[in-house]
Amino acid sequence: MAYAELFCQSNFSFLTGASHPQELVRQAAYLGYQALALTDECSLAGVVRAHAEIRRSQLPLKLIIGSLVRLKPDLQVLLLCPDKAAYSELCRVITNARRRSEKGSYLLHEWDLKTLHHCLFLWLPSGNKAQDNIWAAWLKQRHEGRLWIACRRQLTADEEEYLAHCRALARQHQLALCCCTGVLMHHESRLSLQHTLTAIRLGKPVSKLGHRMLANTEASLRPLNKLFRLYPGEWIQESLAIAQRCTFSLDEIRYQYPREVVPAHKTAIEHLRELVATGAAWRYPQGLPEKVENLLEKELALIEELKYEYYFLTIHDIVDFARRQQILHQGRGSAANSAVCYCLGITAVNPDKSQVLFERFISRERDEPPDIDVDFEHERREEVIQYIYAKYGRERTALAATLVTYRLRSALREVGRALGISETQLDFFIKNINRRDSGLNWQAQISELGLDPASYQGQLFIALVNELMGFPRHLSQHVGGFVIASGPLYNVVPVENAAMPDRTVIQWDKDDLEEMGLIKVDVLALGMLTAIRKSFDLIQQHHGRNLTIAGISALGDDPNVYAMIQQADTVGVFQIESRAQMSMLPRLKPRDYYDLVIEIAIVRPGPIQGDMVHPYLRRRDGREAVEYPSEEVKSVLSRTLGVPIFQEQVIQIAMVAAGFTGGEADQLRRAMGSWRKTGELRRFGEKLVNGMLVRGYSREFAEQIFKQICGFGEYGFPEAHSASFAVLAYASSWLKYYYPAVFYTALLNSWPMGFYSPAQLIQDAKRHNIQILPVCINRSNYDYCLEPREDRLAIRLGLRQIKGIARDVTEKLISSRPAEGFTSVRQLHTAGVPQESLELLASSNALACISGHRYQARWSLMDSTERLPLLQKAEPRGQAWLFRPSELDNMQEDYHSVGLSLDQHPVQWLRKANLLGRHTPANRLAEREHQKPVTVIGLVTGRQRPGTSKGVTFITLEDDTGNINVIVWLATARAQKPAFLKSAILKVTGILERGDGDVTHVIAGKLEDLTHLLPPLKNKSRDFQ
Amino acid sequence: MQALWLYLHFPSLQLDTLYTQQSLPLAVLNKEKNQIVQLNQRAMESGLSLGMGLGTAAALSRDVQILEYKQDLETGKLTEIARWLYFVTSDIAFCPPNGLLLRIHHMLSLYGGLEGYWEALKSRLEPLAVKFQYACGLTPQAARMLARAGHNLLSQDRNLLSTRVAQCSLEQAELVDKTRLKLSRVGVKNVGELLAVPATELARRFDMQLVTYLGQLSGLFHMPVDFYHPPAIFDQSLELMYEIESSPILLHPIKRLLKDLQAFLRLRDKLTDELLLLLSQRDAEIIELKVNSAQGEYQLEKWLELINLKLTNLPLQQPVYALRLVVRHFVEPQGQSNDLFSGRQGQTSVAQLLSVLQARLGPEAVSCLQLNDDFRPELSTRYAPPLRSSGPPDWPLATLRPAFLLEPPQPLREKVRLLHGPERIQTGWWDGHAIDRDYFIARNTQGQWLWIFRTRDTQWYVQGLFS
Repeated sequence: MAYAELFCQSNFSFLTGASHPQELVRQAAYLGYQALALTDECSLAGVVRAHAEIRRSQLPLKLIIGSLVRLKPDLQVLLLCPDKAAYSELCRVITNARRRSEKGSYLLHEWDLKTLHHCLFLWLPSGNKAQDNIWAAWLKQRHEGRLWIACRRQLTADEEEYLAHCRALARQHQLALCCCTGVLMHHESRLSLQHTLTAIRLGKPVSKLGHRMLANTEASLRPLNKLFRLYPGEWIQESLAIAQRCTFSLDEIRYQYPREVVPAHKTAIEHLRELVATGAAWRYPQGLPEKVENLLEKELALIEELKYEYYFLTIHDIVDFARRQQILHQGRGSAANSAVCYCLGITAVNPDKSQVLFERFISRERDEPPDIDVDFEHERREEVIQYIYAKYGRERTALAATLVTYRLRSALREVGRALGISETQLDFFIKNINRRDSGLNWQAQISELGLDPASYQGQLFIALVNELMGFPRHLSQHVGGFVIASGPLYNVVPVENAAMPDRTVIQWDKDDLEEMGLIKVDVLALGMLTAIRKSFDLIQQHHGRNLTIAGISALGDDPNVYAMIQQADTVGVFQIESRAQMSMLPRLKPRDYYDLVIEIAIVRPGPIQGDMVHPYLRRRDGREAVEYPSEEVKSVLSRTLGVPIFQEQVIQIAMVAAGFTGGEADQLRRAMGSWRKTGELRRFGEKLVNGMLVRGYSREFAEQIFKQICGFGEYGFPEAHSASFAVLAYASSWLKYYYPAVFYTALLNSWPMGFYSPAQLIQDAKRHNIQILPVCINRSNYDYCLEPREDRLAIRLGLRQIKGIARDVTEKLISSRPAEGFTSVRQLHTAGVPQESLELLASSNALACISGHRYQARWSLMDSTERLPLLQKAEPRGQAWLFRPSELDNMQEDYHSVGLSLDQHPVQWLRKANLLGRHTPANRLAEREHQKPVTVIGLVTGRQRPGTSKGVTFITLEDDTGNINVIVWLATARAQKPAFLKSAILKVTGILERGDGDVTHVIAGKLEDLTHLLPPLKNKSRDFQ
Repeated sequence: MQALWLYLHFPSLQLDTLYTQQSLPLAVLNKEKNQIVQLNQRAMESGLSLGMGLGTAAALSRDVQILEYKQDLETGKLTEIARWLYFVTSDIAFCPPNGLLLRIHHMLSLYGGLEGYWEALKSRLEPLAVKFQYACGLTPQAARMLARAGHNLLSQDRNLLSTRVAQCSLEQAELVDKTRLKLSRVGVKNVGELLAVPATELARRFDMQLVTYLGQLSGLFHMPVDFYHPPAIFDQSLELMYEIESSPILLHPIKRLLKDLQAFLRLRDKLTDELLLLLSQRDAEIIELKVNSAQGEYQLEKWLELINLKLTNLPLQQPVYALRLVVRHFVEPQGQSNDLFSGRQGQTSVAQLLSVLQARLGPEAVSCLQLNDDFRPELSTRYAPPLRSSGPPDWPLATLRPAFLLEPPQPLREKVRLLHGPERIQTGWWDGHAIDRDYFIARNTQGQWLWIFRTRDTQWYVQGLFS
């Protein structure tokens, strides 16, 4: 008994198929099918997963690539690929149909079907006699010899009549009949999920679907004996014969790199060697150190052996463009920190200085493709993208897809709707679920939805939500992963429209690409690069000094800069500016570049959950002996004192200590990335622990390593990325130390970016004794700028800081600004600036120099008769306005309009008004004793709840003297929820805690909301990010 | 006489109306604005406040019950309150969804001053158990603003009333958000300061809406007010000269009441589809008879016929000494196109037949059969209210279905020959009536065509018979 299923849709036919491609191929193989055609609707998005599963689990099943397409109103055809030519054809037709239509839909034309000369056609007649006769003739005329009528039996009503109709068509038009199932589920137990998906697709509850849903479970993979009872033998034979004709396998797909990166008369490796030689001369004007020379030779040999020349050349081409355009960039990732990349200008990480070795990143035994992400200035990344499109052409370039899947929240919402639970109730429930402290056990809480968790309905709900989680919802675009090919991409993979106009994505995501050996180039955006570029420009302008990132690194480790870092004076600095990073800095006390690499990687949920932080700190301080269970482990862990901190180390341990092969280690790496979604990691646990036991490691050590792997999971940080980030962290620290005014100005002009709001950055600048000047209609530009004051530079607020004013408006204003400045409101009117923007300028006090206080200025501006042409000549009526702003009014207006006040801090005002009582300002906390009660008051500038901290919330309070770190335990927060959640100005009475490196926190006891003291204050805290 | 207005604001009408037992925190959410608009005490204690979004509310309290705001519900309740207050005060104007404006200076002498008037009003309001805020004002807008701000101010003192108005914040005045924002950003902080700005200056900077509102607030401009007129109700009682013990005899006095009703309806060119007849018995509860007609009627004979039907089913326990006939619902007559010459004698419309059936059997007993969109044969039809038309089904109807279904299906006890099938139906997992059956068409030895099915555990049943 043999059978080939030719019609099967996975859950990549979104909201229709109810099984993953992997489940389908596994089940088909288990049932003894000879072949399975995956025929998702106008999509090949699921085929790589099916293909990979067959390969990985060595299933005795042939995968046929195909697709179901519909031509409105009533033609449905399955297109199957017998060979490579048919596959390319199918990719092209899917691409055309998808590109014609907006994201997520497709539009097929008759013409598309006419152009298919290789695909096999399995026609599914509609049942309408007249129409079907027309189509039969049409199809036969064009595709004879590749055309069948595919008959389904799903035991539905009136099926016999339909089959009789199909037989009649076959007789009349002399067409062959074959059979298929039309699989939507790998197993009949998925029926309720399939019904739920249908309900979601149609936007109706399940109970209202009626005849729009499947009548039974027959649209599943059925056992062979049943199929043999349902279908005549000759139909089954015909299906097998069709399967036989389909010899195409995805393994035949060969990716071709773009050829134009190599000049015609050279080989790729020749060209790469030349470029590297040129680059080496540029990087090492004093001559190439022997160490680097050896390194280069070794790397180039490895690149040649593994045939990665084109990959490096392609990235070089893009980076070279950026360099010509003076767009700052920095590569990172597994191959980025190589001497080759340094010489090619892809990275500024100097291989001479760092201990990081290239071999660690590309290795023979781990057969993984090299991975280089390149970050560009975030405001200029688009130029790079346009360059890629222009150079390689849109047909050959597209973004990788990102598969958006159902998560807990979305699954709860959709299943809830499908089961008819009231929307308001669902919304409320989901909002509560989202709180991290209760997110774990949502099942127990469904009684809030009126469902008894123990009841049939409750169990149903839970089961459906669990099943739906991880199901694909739609394809979205990857943040910056470009696929570039030598010929049109649509010969290799279908391309469809992304949500963004003029962007296209391929139907495969990054895992699929990796599986297929296709290379993507990540073109990413990074705000800090913009800020550094702007710093360099300002330094050039005001100090006449030319700087580069590599140049700063080349100056060597500067003790002044590290002293600043050790004091956690790092607001605005790349990566090490978050609160968690800042509290680690005084403990870890980075002294050199590699310390920064560790610092960046260690303050991550991975190392924290894996309990690696404290052992590392103890060993670093010499309070704990550094031991290694074996020489092999020592070779991997010695640079981090025996504690695994980087993702690469974990993988390497699996190889050296547990005997994983390169391939297995690679699978482990992928499982780590997605274990929360798939739970695949557990498969490796046993193998890892056993492997280590066999090699003589203790069970304790083995389990510790596995625990660390689990902790790393999604959150582990690769050394390859940390090494690149550390360069930027150092460069930005250096700028902050030597050119603080420039650095803040550049940060403010690159905003939004980083961790802090402009108000916080300006507060920090003020604390560094930098003078900040207010917005002024005659002095300010759109951006912040520097004004020489006495012996130093002061920062002038830019008009960009005023809320609600568009950039083009300010540009219009500045271009019509007379050399001596505006002198009257009338001039502003004639400059063509919209009334609303003028009023916003008035309220920001930017008009103070021409029309008095801000109330007066705005009131005069509002007068509509001033704008009437007839009255233009009349004298302005200099009538005084009734109200003058008080000190408090001014402060509130400042917050309202620019989000900060230069004159005084709200806390300062409250203190002066005697409204605060006894408390300790931020800059006096250092004088207070450890573990003694203390009262602090400040503006709430942030509430953070790290995923690792079991319900602890970090609140940052800002007063006029600095920031105060408050820790709120879960119980405290719960008991005082309103003050905890709603305060804009908060008074905290608690215990002062001073830890390692004098890191000071206040452990909150009592929380008091003081917001009412300053009612309309508009301060926006950045909460729970 | 100086005009005086009183405004009643009902801040939580929906909550007060719906949920008397309020041991749980409750909040009413306006979904469009994502704002909490009403709260009970318990919800306030958990830190919730008005204007908050759902997210914040959820963070503050896990057990708060969220209800969706329904404006028509409030408006309905407001009408009810107005009708109820109409007994003590005459000039009532609606300010939907939650306010009533009363013109009260005419009323004061009637109740011997403001105090007395308020007492009378309060005694009507309090039993309703709805929260209210109130305030007097020299203009409707002033009273409204003060009441909504929660001043609960009862006074005729012009100075006091003006001062209070001046103290109101801009938030309390009814200004468009944009206007309010603009005013606050030139330093105007309260209504008093706003009124101090010359109107001509305002007019140069704001639209007429602001100037008009301020004029109405200060009394410079008149504000048009529509007063409420309670709908006419037919409510007539009849004391009987002698007690009646048998229902047929009751028809005579009833006929008298109906005659008056007929006159009442003719005068207003109205019909009614429901009347309420109350029979006072000597030593027993009042009997309430509700009589409906599917088609609006005014004619005495039709109603008498329907009442007669009701009465025949109603044995009197005690002698009846008084009757009362109440009609609250009126419908417009619809132009029935009856031919003048063909007449209507001997003809009963479907609607009339239905009325007769419903009067005899009770409204619940009469329904009609409709197709229902479900795979399960038991649920393929359903009962629906009569005379409601449903279009043709929008799903494909299977061709091989019997006309006659057995309810419940009967076990198959005879030998049959399977002729057609199987058709498999596995559905209904969501409502606890799941089925998993294979259907066949079969013929038994008598030649009958049966629709039978087999369950998963191979039990056979007859579901229906083909004609």
